Amino acid sequence: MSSGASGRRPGHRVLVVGSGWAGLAAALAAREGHTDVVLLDGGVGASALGPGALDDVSWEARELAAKASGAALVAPLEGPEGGVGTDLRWLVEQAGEEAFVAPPGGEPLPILATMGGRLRSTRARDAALLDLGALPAGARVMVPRVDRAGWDADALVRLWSADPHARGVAFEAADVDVLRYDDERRIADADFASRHDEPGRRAWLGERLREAIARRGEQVHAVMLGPWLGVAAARASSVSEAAGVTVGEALAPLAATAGMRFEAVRKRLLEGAGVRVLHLRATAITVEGGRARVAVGGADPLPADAVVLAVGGLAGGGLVYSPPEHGAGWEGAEVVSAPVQMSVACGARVEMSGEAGPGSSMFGPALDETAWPIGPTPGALEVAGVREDQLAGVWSGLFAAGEVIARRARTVGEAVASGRRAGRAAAAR
Amino acid sequence: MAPSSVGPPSERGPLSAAPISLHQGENDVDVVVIGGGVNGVGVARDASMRGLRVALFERNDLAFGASGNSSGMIHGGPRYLSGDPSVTETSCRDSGHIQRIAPHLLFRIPFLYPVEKSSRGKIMLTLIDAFFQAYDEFQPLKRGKPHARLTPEEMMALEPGIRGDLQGGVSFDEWGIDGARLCVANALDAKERGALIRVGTTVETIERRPDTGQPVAVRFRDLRNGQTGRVTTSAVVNATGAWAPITASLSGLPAKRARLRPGKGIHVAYDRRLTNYAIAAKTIDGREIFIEPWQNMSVIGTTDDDYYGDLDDVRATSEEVRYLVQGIARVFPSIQEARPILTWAGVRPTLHAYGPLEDKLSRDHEVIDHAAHGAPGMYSMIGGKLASYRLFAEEMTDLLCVRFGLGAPRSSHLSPLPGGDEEVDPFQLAEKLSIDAVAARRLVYRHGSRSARIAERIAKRPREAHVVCPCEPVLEAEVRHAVVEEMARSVDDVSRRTRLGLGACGGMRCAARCAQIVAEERGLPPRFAHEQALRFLLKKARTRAVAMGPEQARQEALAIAAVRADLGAPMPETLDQAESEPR
Repeated sequence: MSSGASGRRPGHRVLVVGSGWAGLAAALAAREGHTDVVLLDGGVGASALGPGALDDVSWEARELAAKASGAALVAPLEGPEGGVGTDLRWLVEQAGEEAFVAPPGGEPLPILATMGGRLRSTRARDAALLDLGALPAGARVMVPRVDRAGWDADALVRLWSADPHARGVAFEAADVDVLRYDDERRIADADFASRHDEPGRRAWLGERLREAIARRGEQVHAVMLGPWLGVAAARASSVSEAAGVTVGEALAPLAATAGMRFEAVRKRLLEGAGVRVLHLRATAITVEGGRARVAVGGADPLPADAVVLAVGGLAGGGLVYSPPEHGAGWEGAEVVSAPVQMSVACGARVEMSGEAGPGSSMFGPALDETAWPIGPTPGALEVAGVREDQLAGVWSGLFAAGEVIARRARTVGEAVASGRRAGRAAAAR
Repeated sequence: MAPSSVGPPSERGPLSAAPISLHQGENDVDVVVIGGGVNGVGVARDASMRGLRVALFERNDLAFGASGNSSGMIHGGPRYLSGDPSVTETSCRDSGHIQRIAPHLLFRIPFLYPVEKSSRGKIMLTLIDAFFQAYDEFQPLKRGKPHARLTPEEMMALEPGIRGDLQGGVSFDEWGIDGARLCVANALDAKERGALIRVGTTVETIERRPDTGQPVAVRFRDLRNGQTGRVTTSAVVNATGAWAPITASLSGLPAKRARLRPGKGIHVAYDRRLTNYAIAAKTIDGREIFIEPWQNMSVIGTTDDDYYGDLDDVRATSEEVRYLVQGIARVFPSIQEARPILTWAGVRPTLHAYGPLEDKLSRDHEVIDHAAHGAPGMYSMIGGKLASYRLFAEEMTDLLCVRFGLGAPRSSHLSPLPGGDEEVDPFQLAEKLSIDAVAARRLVYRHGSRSARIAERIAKRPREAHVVCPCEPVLEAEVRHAVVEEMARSVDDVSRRTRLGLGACGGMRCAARCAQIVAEERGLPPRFAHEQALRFLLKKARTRAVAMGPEQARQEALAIAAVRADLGAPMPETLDQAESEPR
């Protein structure tokens, strides 16, 4: 796979470090600038573990605001300058509606059911997730009883029915055998989901659901399943076709199913755009004569004219929390440094709760009250990162995207918007 | 025995779930025990065994305080041998009794005691060797093994993680126990012998006769639903540990009549067993601390500091954690790279003395008979240790028997606790229920022969064999059992009884599901389940945050993202202490 020749700026290379939503958006945006793009994929991060809800802002903040103003939950209209929603739609349209769905501005937002038992809105969604907002008011949603851990159809039906977003949608638990082999009672969600990548198996599932609905003798508008509808691609539409009604998944925060589908879409988009992907981990960036040399584990350093740091936050591994005492002996740290570092050494200062560099302690910070978010206040672990405006002081070819940026919301929309911005700027340099 | 009741007839409403027969006098019960720690449930059990009618009120949950937040050992207390040898003897003797009545809850913890090289190193080692020779005399009382003197090479061969310039050391032998399970077993036994046990219920007033000062009734309030009630009695046992002065003052007695020295102790738990031996170490100020293998984790502990804070909300701080880690790192340096997943804190109700350092305080126990303060029939239990709780409870019950003129024999050391009557083979159980052998082993550890009751549930509803908490692991049937049979009312209560959510994932994989089950079993609305799950996740996260290292921080960030997507960020009211529940 080579792409240098297709670029109109031969010799100009943008290196994107990181393969999550931000890295993907940066690479695609940089390719739009007709430059050679190399993306370093260092392994699974937060995007590949994501649950398939593509938010622009925190969903609770959105819903609180809507409640306060009495407004309906619709996709915000954005001007010609665009915004996070516009950027999300830019990426989602490239992926295609068989992968992701993002309503245009002014349209109702998708409503998802979570395995924790809540109903919530989202700006865009993985196509396998069932959108309750698209169902008619008073629709009946069948929830099969499936003999798998974590899936208690009766409990979920009770929880979802009581949610204000239910808008009269009737959830009903039903006996439907969607397990074909005995091991499916125990295997992991993603393993079970991968079985529905096989067309014959999807037809079988659709048939089971169709029979169950017929047996019920009442109209059913949709079927809600767990995170089981494919890992190579979202398989909801073909199962829906076979079943005769809309079939979709509930949102599962830790199932990895939607994350694996993201990885599959990413592969397709990067290949299609001619981005070279190297499965390497960047360790350090040095600048010589206006070009960067990016040191990578296990290979020669890579030269680049611009670098996008889309390495992820603490969850993704782009930021590393390392209090001074970690790994030190009983006598304590030899050198006291800031408690959070970027995994790629590049001279950028990483801050946590507004502070960068070593504080006034020989030890790490006391995080008990601050690590987690409380209501509208984000947790200290969520706001750590580098300040975009300070990167130019390190090197004018250095850009940041996604969760590595300090003090920004950790949403997919933010990652895509900042990735697109960084990719454009890097290509234009 | 001359109990005489005054005031209005008792309000029986909230008690009606467990009708009380009035066979001794006209009071609802003979004795009210306040406090669901090991001393309180121990008295409730012993008094019930000897024919007294008992009601026990616990403000939070069984084992909520020191009993459930200890080092998890019923050790013989070799530390007390030089100053307080009688404490060592009672601890060893009663530890032996506990072993007989609850064998399923015990596990052996072999200890290594390294001695550093110094100008006095050789003498120190000889002294320590002699010291443990004296301790060996007590070991047979608890089926313990005698100590051995070890060379530095022998010690490092046993535990290769040990570092430092060593003179040598000794090994000795102790027993581990799950303190919360011990409390639950005692409470269940008391309940089955007719005692009324109410958790989440605080005592608001202890009414006394104005003329004689005797207690006549106790007024209580269920903290979660606001229900109030009154139960008449002529004896009150204050077994509220560090809360004891507060409880005493509810009867109009000055708080100082139940005075104690509250001593906070914390522990840090790691994601796996880092050593197979417990290792003794010294802190920078010369205190003795340890790292121990405990169930499926390693635990380091403990501190002992005078406590002046809120007893319902005791938490470890990052300074306390760092103080402990430093001390352990001196003999076991890799602790600095290990991954802490949990901390806990409790407050010891140590006997009062003004002046001595915390560690020098006596670990003995005593019953304060408030007859001396004009309140005959009121007693406060102060001090004590997990290892000798049964003896302490027996002494308290002896006093009650004298008061009521009962000659019933002592038998709490003979009759097994629930689950302790016969051995169960976990492998057979695993096969019978087609569950994982590890899950069966853990089930048998916690419930002994009572695991048969959980097996019955699964036989009736096979899907209850599903694993709710994969870290521990805990089955759905056990969660339901904890709610229906063991008085659990929240995810936190289930966690205390089963160790659900205390593993490496911090409840991420089980809190929401467990909350759904608790809400279902209790017939509570869905909002309760969300709040319960979030409260549990946030509270546990706060106990982890004080000890956070790189791996845990990464997981924590991922957990926050997952919780945000699934349940939403916790709201400030999520942390409310009152835990009021929707009706």
